[in-house]
Amino acid sequence: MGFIKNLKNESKEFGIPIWKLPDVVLITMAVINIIVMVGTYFLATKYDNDPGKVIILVAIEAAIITIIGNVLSESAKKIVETTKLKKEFIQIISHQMRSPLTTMKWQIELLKKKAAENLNKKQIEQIDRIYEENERLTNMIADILNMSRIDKNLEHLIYSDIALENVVSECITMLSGFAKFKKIEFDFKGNRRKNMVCVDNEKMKIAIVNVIENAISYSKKGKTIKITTKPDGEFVALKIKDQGIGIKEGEQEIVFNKFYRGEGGKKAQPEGTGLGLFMTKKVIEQMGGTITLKSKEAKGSEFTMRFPRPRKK
Amino acid sequence: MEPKRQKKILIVEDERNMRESLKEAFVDGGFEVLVEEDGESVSDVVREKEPDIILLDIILPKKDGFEVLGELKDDMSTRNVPVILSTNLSDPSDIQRALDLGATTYLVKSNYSLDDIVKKVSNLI
Repeated sequence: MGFIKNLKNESKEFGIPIWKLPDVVLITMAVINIIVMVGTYFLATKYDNDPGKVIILVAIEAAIITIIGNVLSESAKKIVETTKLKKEFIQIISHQMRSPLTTMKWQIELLKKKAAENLNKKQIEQIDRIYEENERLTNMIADILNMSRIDKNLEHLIYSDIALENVVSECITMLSGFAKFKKIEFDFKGNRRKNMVCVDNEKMKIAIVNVIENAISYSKKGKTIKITTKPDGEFVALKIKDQGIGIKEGEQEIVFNKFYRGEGGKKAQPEGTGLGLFMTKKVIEQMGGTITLKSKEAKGSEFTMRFPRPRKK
Repeated sequence: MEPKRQKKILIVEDERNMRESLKEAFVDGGFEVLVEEDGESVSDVVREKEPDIILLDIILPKKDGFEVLGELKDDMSTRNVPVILSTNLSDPSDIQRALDLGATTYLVKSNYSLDDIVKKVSNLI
């Protein structure tokens, strides 16, 4: 009983099904081997007058398979161990690295506030740059943490029926400072009609904010981002269209890959992590939705996200 | 008219530089500031000094923020003092746990400037 309890704990701890746990894989392999050996014995006695030879052969084969199985099991254990280390590492990043970065940010803030009158314009600019870089590093850590959570499906989805337009408005408000800085206008007429969707509110926000943030990042000053919502069968489609740098045809299919950064993207936004769209897709698909892209280099991109509508009760 | 009483905040934070930054910001914001470096005697301090609000870190030596929050909410004399749990843990399960235990709100420190934190706290009292 203790063994089964251990398996259950391991399965829970590492987030892999019991049948995939290394020890279970090894036992399964041994059982299969025994069945194959016995089966071969009966077949051999039926069709051959000298079953001894066959059995030796089968035994050698079984031994080899067991050795391979053992190697496999070892590798699986290593993977599990690595996953555990990764998890711990992410925890360390979360707690240990964020704190000094936060303190630095706050100290810069205080310095700027209190020493501003004794500093010249150039020095204030330098302080602003330190602040911006600190923010960038903090955001990257937040991205990595979000990704690891979503990637490993650690978060539970909490579904509720909400109006997509309300969430979009909230996301726009969240990004209004950044948009103002880049002199980007939003064309969003979300208040006229409400389309209900059944999603995890917080996760949907991560996705929508990522796409709008990209649209702002990759647009030149003074451009407009058009956002529309429309019922689309079982879904509600949210389109976010920018007049930015666009994405090359060959890159469009791989922009959703983890750590992938397009050529244009690297130039326009060197500090990106290549995780944003990967996370976005993962989050949307987890909720039963889809995300697709239409883009033309130098003309702009249009992302279409489809979120499931509430089921009729 | 009675003069406006200075608001009192208790900051519980184990990291010195972070604590000093917060203290400075709240003093500048017109608060009377009390500080604690660990969770051990927070309940006693709250009973004795009666702060208007508490900014409580989660990871603390001796007694963590969840435990301290539980103590405060169990005691009739301290249960109504608003508590903002402040931390850099941003796991939704931690947020949920803090709210379940009765925290007024939850704040991921790295997401806020000092100005924002002072504003947020001022709005709550």
